[in-house]
Amino acid sequence: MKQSTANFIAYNLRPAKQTERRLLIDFLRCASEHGAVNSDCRYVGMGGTMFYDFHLVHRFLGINRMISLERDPKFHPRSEFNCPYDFITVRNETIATFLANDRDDNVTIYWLDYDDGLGPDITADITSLGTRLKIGGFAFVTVYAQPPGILEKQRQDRRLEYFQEHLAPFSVSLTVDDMENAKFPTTVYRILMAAFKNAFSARTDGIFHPIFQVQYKDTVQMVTVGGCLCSETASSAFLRRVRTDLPFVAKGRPYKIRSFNLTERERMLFDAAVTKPDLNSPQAKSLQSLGFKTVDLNAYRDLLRFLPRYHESII
Amino acid sequence: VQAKWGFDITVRPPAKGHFGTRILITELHDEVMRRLNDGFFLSELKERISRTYSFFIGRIVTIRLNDDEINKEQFEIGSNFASEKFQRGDVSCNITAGIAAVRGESFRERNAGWFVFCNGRAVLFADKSALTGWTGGGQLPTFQPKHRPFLGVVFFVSPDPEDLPWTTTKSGINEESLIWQEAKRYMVTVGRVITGFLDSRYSDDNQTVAPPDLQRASGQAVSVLSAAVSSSQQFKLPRSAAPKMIRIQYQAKVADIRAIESYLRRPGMGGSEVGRYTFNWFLKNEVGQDE
Repeated sequence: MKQSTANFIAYNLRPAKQTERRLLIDFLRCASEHGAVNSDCRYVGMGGTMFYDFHLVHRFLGINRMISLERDPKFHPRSEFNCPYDFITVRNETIATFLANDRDDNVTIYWLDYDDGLGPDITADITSLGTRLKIGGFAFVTVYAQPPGILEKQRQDRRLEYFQEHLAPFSVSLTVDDMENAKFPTTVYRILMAAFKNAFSARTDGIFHPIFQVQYKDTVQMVTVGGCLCSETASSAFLRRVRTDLPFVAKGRPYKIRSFNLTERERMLFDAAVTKPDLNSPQAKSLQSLGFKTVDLNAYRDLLRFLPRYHESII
Repeated sequence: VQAKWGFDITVRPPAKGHFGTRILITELHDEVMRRLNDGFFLSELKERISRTYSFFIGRIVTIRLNDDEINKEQFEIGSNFASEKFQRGDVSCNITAGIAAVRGESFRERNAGWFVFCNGRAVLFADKSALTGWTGGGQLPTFQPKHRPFLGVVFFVSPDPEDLPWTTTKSGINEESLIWQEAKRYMVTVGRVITGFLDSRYSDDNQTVAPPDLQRASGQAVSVLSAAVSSSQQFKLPRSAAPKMIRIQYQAKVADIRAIESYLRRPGMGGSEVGRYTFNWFLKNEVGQDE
């Protein structure tokens, strides 16, 4: 049994991850405006010990039926101990077992937020999501997007062999070049997309739109793909709303969350500069004089609502 | 385009005590005659009938081959199985997966895998191929000897046989059928719990677990046919049964072992100690755990 990474990663200080969470919540908020997501929904995630996503889902979407899955039996007691709300059930189960046995008829939002590298278990979990997701439901999958430990020091051709052996149906079009470190996140993204497409291809009651595609890095590259299973009629209004409110996310390729590492004073300048209609405002000019470029301002504008602020208090 | 073909039937009132249709085939081609007399044909035909009509034999039909009554293929499953049902239009599909029930013998490969029935007729027997999802990526794992206890049954039922996912000869699966494609994904969801359990039961050095151990986990034997028509249920994972230790064995060059001994300034350490030392080093320095 692989041990939980929450044992050694400080999950409370990961700005890119928190930005991603907020983007995802806003994506769900777009659906809630059309009634697709409401407080009757259920949320299934992997809360670890911090339950950040659970906090956000409850606060901003009003959902109060939640299940957190913790596969590591040694870590499960800590997960239960830290569970913030009574309406969250913490279960010591793998995703595979949970999905096989889940008979809940409510519309569910699944966020399978793995810290593992992509493997046959994860693609099979996506296949199972294809049988479980109800119309109006959401499914998101996050995976480690760098070469996993077993492949880290391997040559590219050996990496390709591993993919062909373990992810055969999804590795047909992969080449040795796709195994380069720099291209690895894109390769992982392509396999996730193919897995989602395959999982929902037999569904006749709706279409799965995997339009939430995000890549981010705090310490390592991670990729998230997900979306909504909706009927053709319901999807157009929701997709229109997403394209209006989150135009940078719905572009058919992963949106890369930038790391800004700004001081509080710089951030105040950015806040003012990107919200002014004048692109050559004094604040924008000040930022340029500090070495920031137009691309930095554009990226900050995308993420203005989603970047977290961290404060340290010294006792 | 193939020309339509047919034959005339003369309708007559049913005669009391004389049922059925007798089909007599004469003037067989030489190659057909040779096939019928090759020594295997009859036993293969008997087995095929026994498996294909196992749902009907003894219940609503008796089949004889050269005057010998054919017994139905008996296959049973442990009562701790997973099952799931879904319905699309007029077609209902019931998927059951669990551990085959055996009586004293070891699990046999010929009875492992998926059995698929359409309106009671078996169209796939013990399938362990990519057709039923044993692909190893995104579906079930590629079938290995440790999966021999796996027994899965898929039952399709429809009032209109045209809607079922079988081929026109009713002896295979029509892979293009939409209901089959959907069922295949459910088979992955239900079947993975069993393969996951079996994977956890067998150590990496292929040391097999005794059938009685598995039988305890699988529960009392029940007929797969009754399991297939029962309501949906979950496979209950026995939690404490997984092995805690496994043996690691591998070949290494003697020169490499000597080089490590020399590096550690401990000549005569031996392969076993070198293996343990390097394993512990990796656990401590790479994984971050003390041995």
